[in-house]
Amino acid sequence: MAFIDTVAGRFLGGRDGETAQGVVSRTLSRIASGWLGLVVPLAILVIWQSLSVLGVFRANLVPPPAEVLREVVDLARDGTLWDHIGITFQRVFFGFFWGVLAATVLGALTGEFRLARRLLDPTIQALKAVPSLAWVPLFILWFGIFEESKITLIAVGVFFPIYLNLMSAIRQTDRRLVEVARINGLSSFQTIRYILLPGTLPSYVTGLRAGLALGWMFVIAAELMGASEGLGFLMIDGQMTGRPALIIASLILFALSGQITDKALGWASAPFLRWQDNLETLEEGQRDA
Amino acid sequence: MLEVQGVERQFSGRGGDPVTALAGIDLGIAEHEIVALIGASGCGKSTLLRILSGLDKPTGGAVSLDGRSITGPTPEIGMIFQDPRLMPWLSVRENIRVAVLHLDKPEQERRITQALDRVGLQHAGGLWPRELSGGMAQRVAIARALVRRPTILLMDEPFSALDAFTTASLQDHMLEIWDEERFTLVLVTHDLEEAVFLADRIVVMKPGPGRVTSEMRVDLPRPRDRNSETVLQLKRRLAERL
Repeated sequence: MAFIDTVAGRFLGGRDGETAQGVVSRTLSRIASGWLGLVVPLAILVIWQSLSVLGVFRANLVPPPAEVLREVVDLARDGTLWDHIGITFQRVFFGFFWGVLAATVLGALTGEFRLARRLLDPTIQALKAVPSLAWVPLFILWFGIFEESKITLIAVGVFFPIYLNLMSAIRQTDRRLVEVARINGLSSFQTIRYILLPGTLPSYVTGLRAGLALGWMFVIAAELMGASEGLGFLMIDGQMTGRPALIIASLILFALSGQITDKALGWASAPFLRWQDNLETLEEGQRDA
Repeated sequence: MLEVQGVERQFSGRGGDPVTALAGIDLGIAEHEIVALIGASGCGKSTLLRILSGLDKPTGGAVSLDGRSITGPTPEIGMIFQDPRLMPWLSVRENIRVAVLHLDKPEQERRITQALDRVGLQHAGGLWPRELSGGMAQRVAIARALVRRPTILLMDEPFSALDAFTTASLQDHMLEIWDEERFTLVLVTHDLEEAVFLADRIVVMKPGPGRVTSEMRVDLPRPRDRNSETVLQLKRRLAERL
């Protein structure tokens, strides 16, 4: 009987010697833990809807969830929703791209070369002290009110966490491992490929995720300040025309977009970080075991 | 023949005054010999080993191997550190591969398999370093040094972080490998028993500045018994010299 159970477990995609029951309960618990995070938002939704129906909230200030949903559906139906989401994603994408590029090049230089660090880092640190939104007037003056100024602003926001993380990660490279590379006659390129890159990757990814989050923050700022399209524009539009449902809808769409891109980044980097010996991998391991 | 002639090493200390870590070291090490460098901390034994490996350069004097002077790391000289120094992001197999990147792929595979076999880890190739015990990790480090087939192997207190049982079994294993691969072994240790159990010759060093104060031959046949009267006696004599 145990044998049949094991074979069934195998059939269900389980590991060696795992029973069918084991596979099923593991899968169930995995699904359950995945959905657990939805309990609180759903509860809020229910309370929100109930209070709206009971008339505790004034509908012209706090519309019921159903109306927010209808707003989204309406926008989706006439196609404008996709244009707005599309343009916002495009801005984040280009801003992120240029921010990552600049931060990676400069962070690698200042991390690796003392001369570059002494020459460039003080200036960059000083620029960091300027609140990023304070650049807006200058960027509008320089690049106009269209895409360039928005993308530059986003790139500036994206730049700093990535730059700082990369530079300090390179500086903290384990000297003892570099000695192993020297003893084994590795070239500079091989030392970068086998030690520097993998060693700095965890910090770099942390920087990328923080940078992306700032990218989403700055795209809103850029769009609130003057845009004719985009999720930020939708919010301003909702404010001007007195449609709180539209504002809340954009808010939720922003949250979802940020979450999705962050998850995508985490998912894309996960295969390269599996070696890490930390609580996260421990949790993964226990779930898999 | 590994020759150390008048090797001196100064470091710039605090306040700009140079600190002499090694002063005028002369030492000749024959082929297939096992030499233990022993002494209190600060006597410069690890510095000397690093100079032999080519990782550090002497500020005076020279090191030569079969007449050629050593100015940097070379494939003939392998080094095993106190800690295993494995790359946490590479599997055991890939960690060993780092030492043979200059060879073609099939030769790499052959050598890695052979080296893993040699240290008794033939089934551990796919593991991550974080999944290894201290003893296993140090075995991987030994395999990584062996895979280059060095004629001289340097070890810097290689077993000092391990428990007594693991240390004893790794020492036995190391002697077996040494016997078959015929390399020269130079090890730094602060463990009297380790020195007497492993070495043909024990070089005693003292600090302030680091220098060789005496040498002791160990003419005991192998395998040696750690608890035999002669070994205990030699340990006592060695302790008197330290």
